[in-house]
Amino acid sequence: MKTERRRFSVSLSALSIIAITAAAAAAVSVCIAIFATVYSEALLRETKLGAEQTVQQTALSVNNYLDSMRDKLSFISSAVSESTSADELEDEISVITRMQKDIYAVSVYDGEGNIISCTGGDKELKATVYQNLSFDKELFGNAEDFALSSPHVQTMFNGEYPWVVTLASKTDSHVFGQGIYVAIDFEFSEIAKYIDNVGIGGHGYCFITDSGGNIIYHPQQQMIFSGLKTENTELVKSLVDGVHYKDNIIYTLNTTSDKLWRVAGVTFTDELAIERRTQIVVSIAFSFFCCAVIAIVVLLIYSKIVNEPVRSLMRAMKAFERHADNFSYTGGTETVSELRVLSHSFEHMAKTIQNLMEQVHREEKELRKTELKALQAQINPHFLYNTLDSIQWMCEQGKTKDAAEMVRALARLFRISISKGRELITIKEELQHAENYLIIQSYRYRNQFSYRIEADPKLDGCLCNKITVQPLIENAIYHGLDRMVDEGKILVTVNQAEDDENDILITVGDNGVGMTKEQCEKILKKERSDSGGIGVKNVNDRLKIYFGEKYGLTIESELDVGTKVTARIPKLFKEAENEF
Amino acid sequence: MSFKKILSLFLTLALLFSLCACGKSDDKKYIAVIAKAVDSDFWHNVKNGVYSAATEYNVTVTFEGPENEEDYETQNALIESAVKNGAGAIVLSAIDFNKSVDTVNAAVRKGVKVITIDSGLNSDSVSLFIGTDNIAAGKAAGKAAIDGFAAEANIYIGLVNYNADTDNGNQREEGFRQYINSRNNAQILASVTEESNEESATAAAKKLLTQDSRINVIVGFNEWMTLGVGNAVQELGLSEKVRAVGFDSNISSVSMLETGEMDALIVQNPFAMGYLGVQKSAELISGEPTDGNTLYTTVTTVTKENLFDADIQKILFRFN
Repeated sequence: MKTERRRFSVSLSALSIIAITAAAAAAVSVCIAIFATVYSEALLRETKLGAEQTVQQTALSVNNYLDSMRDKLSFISSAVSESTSADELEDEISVITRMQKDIYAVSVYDGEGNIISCTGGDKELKATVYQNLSFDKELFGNAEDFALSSPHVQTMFNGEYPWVVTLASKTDSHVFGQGIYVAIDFEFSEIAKYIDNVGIGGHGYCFITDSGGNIIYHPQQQMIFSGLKTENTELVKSLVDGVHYKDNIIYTLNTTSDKLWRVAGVTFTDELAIERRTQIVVSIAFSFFCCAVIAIVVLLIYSKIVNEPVRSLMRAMKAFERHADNFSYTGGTETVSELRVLSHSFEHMAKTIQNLMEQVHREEKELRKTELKALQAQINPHFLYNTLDSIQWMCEQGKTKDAAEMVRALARLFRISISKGRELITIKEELQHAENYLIIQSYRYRNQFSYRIEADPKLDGCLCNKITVQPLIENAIYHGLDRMVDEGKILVTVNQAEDDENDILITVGDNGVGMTKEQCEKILKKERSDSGGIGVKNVNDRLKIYFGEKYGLTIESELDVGTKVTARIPKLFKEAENEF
Repeated sequence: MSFKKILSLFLTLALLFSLCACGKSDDKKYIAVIAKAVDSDFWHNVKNGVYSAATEYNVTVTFEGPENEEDYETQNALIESAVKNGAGAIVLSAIDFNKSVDTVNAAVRKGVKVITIDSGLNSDSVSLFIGTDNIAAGKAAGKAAIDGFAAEANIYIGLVNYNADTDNGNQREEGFRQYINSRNNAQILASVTEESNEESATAAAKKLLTQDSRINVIVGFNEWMTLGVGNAVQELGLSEKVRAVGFDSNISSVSMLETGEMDALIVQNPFAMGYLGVQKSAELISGEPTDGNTLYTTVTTVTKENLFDADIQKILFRFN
């Protein structure tokens, strides 16, 4: 039963910890889920908005730059058409080129692309230009107003191959003829300034494509050239202006006002997600840490006000279970009202049970005493009949002296038996009682046994239960000597116990047939049934009830050698009588 | 399940969480790039790649190399000082295939990851080689050398190579020879090995061309050798007769390609080498394994005909 119960038992503190942790974890999870959803949506929205604004801004700057390029071209173009000589023009262009950092070279071509004039500051024009990438007849010819080339290498000067874009327009000149082209090669430095420093989010950036999706300028141009990075230009080309969200990448597009170039912004949301994840992880860790701290604090308090009282109550109950007699418990100090009630009830219950036990004990004692008195009051009819029969026989025989002696002994026996209703009498009186009994019995069992009483005279005044010795003698006669052929001997002694000076040992020994161990034990357990007298068991019980478990009878016996019954009682004097 | 046990469990968890929070902030990684030289166009491009990757992957880099492309001792000293300065990884272009092995092995034993770029090292402790497949590049040079001739023409070839102890020079020559040996009408008449600088290369090429007038193809095996070959052809006025093939590009060699002294250039991808060297180093330090132990970068054959094609422009001409 006990193990059965233990298997399902769980301690209160463990239970509360599980409950609190589960509740905290659930709360934290829900909070994080809500937080993550709201936060990520807000983040995406914010990022999109930011990207759109940034790209718009950049497109505006690029637009302005394109306008300024066109202004420069218009200015040079008008200078070309108005100039009167080639030398004058070249001087004029030289001045402009030096002042404008982003102008790499200014060229004037005839309709077929032959170089009429080419000025690039101090740079030295090649004797023969193998391939002039700055002139594109088809592009220039089809342009309505301005023609803007793709990025290319400028190949006209010795020892330099810079990357440029060419802006060209058709014009007429008195000096160079009709249908000539003026072209400016622009370096990337100015465009780069607008693009390089644009950041969107963590690693987001902007780049410029032409209307065909070819990259004009990219902040990581060299990486793209080296094949280490690719842009999904097809996708960018297919998207209309605005914000697009594709495969965790936010593309933001804005076309410049003249539709020549488009500014594309790229933002990576998985990067944002990683950032967000780390933030969430940190917040989770922090939340759990807080939860743990709170849980510990709560548990400390909880344990203080709930677990500890419960435990002490439990301990008290266990202690009560073991030693109900000497148990004392005071409850009612608990903070939790239920527990206070519980502990109060337990205190009350313990006290009630103790009282009940006391009462039962007392009642049992009383009952035994009453029983005893009733028994003592009874006269064994056989004994009386036999004794009276003996007396009658003595009278008939004329043995009046013997008869008188026997009557006297019988009278004294009864007087001591009654003893004015007292339970305790002196050892002297008890021994007199025993002797009277022995006298009577010795008449009855003529010459069958002899007896001797050896009592320490110092102990004569000590008290003992009345009718303690007589049943032992009776037992010795009936069970030890009755069946003997030889003369039996009975020795009654009263001495102070050797092992404890506060105890007295009263022994009744015989040299009779003896008993087996089983018989010895039986005699202490079994009520005598053959007569109404007091049995050995009764004596033993009485001693134990009166004086405690330490006291009572012990029987030593050996077959055909004899039996010795020892009664141990405390050394009590007359004054202590009222204690019992 | 006593209360104290649970308390200690909670405290342990709390400690773990705080440890996790602390563990994230680590120092910026340092990657030392040790080149063969620092002043050629090729190495400028490598350097650009290195710095691009450093920005991209948020690592600290240094780019160093000896003045002289033969000076392996300085390289070894640079490796040692990089280790001393706490480099997480070293990106090395070994001048000598064998003589830096001990130094590199010692560095690897100290937990430093080593990646070689451009030219490799005779050691198993190197995590990864990034560079040109030099055998293939040599074969491409062989093809470029023969392409200009009619099928039945007799082709006599002179080779100008550099430092015989350098791995990639030897491999390029080996690839070249493999390709030429498979041709019946081509043979290598002469081969010289010179110090890797423009002057000695020019002198050697001139000597080669003047000693044997049959030579109608001359090959330089790196940037400086190529310039030497081009200079020799230019100075001897042999641009019509002699087909010059070289490796790598710079403004001079491209100009000579345009003007006809050079006929073909085998152009590597130095930017990618520098970039990938740092990228892979950063990944190695973070504990990501490399995929195999060799990573080849692209090689392009540039001739006068395709010189200004849009794609070739991007390869040949550095941006910024």
